[in-house]
Amino acid sequence: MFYIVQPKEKNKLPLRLVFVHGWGSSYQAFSSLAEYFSDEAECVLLDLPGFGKSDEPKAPMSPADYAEEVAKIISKMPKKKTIIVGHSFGARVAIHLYNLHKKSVDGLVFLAGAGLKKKRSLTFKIKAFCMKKAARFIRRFSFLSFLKKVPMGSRDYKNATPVMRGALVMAVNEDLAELAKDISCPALLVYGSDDNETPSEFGRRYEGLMHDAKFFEIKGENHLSILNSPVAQNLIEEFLKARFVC
Amino acid sequence: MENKKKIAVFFGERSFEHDISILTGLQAFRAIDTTKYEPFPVYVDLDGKWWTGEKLLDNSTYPLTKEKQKTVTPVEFRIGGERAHILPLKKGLFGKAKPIYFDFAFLAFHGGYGEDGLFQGLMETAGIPYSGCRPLAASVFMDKIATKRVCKAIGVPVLDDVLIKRPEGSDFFDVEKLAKDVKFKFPVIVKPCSLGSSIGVSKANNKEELYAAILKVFALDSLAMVEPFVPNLEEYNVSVCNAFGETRFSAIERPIKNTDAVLSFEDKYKAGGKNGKAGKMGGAKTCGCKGGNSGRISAGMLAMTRALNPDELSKKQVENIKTWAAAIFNELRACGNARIDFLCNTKTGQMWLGEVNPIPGSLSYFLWEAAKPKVGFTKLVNALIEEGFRHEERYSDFLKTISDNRIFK
Repeated sequence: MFYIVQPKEKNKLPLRLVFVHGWGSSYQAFSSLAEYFSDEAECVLLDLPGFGKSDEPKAPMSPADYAEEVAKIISKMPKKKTIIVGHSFGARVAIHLYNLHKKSVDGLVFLAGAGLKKKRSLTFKIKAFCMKKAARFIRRFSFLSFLKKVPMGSRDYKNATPVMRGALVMAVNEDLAELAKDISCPALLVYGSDDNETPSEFGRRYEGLMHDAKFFEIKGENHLSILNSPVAQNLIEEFLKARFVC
Repeated sequence: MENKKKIAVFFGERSFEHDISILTGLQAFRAIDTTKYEPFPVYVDLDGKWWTGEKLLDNSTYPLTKEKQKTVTPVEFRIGGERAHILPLKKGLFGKAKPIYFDFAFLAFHGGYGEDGLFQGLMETAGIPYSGCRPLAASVFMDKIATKRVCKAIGVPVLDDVLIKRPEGSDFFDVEKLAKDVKFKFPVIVKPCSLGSSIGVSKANNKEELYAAILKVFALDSLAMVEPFVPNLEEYNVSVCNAFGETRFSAIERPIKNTDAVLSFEDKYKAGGKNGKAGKMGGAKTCGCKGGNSGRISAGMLAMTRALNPDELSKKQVENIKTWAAAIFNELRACGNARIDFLCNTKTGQMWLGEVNPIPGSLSYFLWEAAKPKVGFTKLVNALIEEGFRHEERYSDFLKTISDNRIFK
């Protein structure tokens, strides 16, 4: 798995930030944040298997598998206070990482963190139900098999290779509410008001589920723009100062 | 929860740097902490008309064509009543427009009308607290002669100059006669007195070019300033701010220019991008280290590249830059985070103050992020807002004492 650590002369810094990117993204999504924080924390930037510069896994990986991969990297490094910064899908990985290796996670930062089920409207539910039925119908009648080639589903799903589709399905079918209830480390939850993929309502729910979490909604930011929001950067800085650098 | 203070973010205005102001305005808007404040945009177009509306936050709204004007709301500014406010010129559903009150004006103007103290004066008159320099400092800084004269008085080095006034009453004048006092060796630099951002600045290698340059300035400004040319020129800029309770300095930047002459407007804002447009809002800002140079290279919001904390400066030079920058800033009791630009002859190491920008492009946030201690963009904007509010408090104390000293009781 590809990863970089910055700055190079990292040993003196007491903190480590591990940035875990979202679905379809790469470590570069965090380049401006990591640069900003690299004088107070060792910043670990990585490409999850199947993204950016990392090879695709042979079989679909679950979010928990991804978490184990990240844990492997961290375990090789000298021990220090470690905060996982997860964007979108990266937050799913972060929750699993906490669940599997509590001792190696001292704090969490979610930027538009995924992992909860969206509250769906009735029309959406009806549409989804019809799509499922239609898929079953297509499978049953072989003369309709040409329709199987028509890619259906979300944009992420359509863009993915078969292996990665498997990983995506595993991820989106998980509801991490139960695991979130066990999270007792300090957590900062930052969401954009204009985010349709991980609505800020997720953050509010996570805040209620976790023991020591604080939720903020930034007006005007969306699922991707939150990554370079100056306000988000400031919230992270305040969070680190208040909880980790005393 | 307490009511969030409403912040009007102003940008645009009748200025050569109109578009750059839009970019700075949108950047500043994004940096305002919405968990504390409630910002909304007010755009002043090139005709001086005011507009508000969510759509103004979208880059694609500019230029605000007739067609796009339909997506935003024209407003007018009202003062003299109970409380200054803006009033939509479109009527509501039931015929009456609802006034929009705001607690603070965040000014992101560059150049004329907005950066030079005029708009600041309007806010003073309206009793609305605002960010940045007060009218006095803003007007002095935007006037190159006034700035140089103050510098001279307080011992900050400036280049010698000869001023040439555009004669009134006629469009035809004898430039040769006007320029007779220019005794500097060629080449010389000719600039307009009151415009910022290198607009109208040119280098003249001989008399003919000097005359042409003066005429070029007269198209923009009634006063031209001629200065000796500084060979081996580099510029060093630093931003100064008192909003944190002490005088603080940003990182020093050395803009990287394309030509050997002065840094032109094109160099500053149009370099890199093919069509002169700046990159995505909040996009990538850093491109790592330049080989062998420990100073970080960073491209700001605008395409210009710059070296941050360049290591060719001696300790003494850095010290001088800071001392002189603080001296001129504090002499005029400036607020905000004016950026002070210095000229340097890199062969001799000699430096002179070039100009002062009361409201620097992108609010120089990239210089503050590289400062020691570093200041994030949101922290910077927060500090500027708090500084503006503090001024207003002092001002209201002053109003109270007036009533004790009246003749008519």
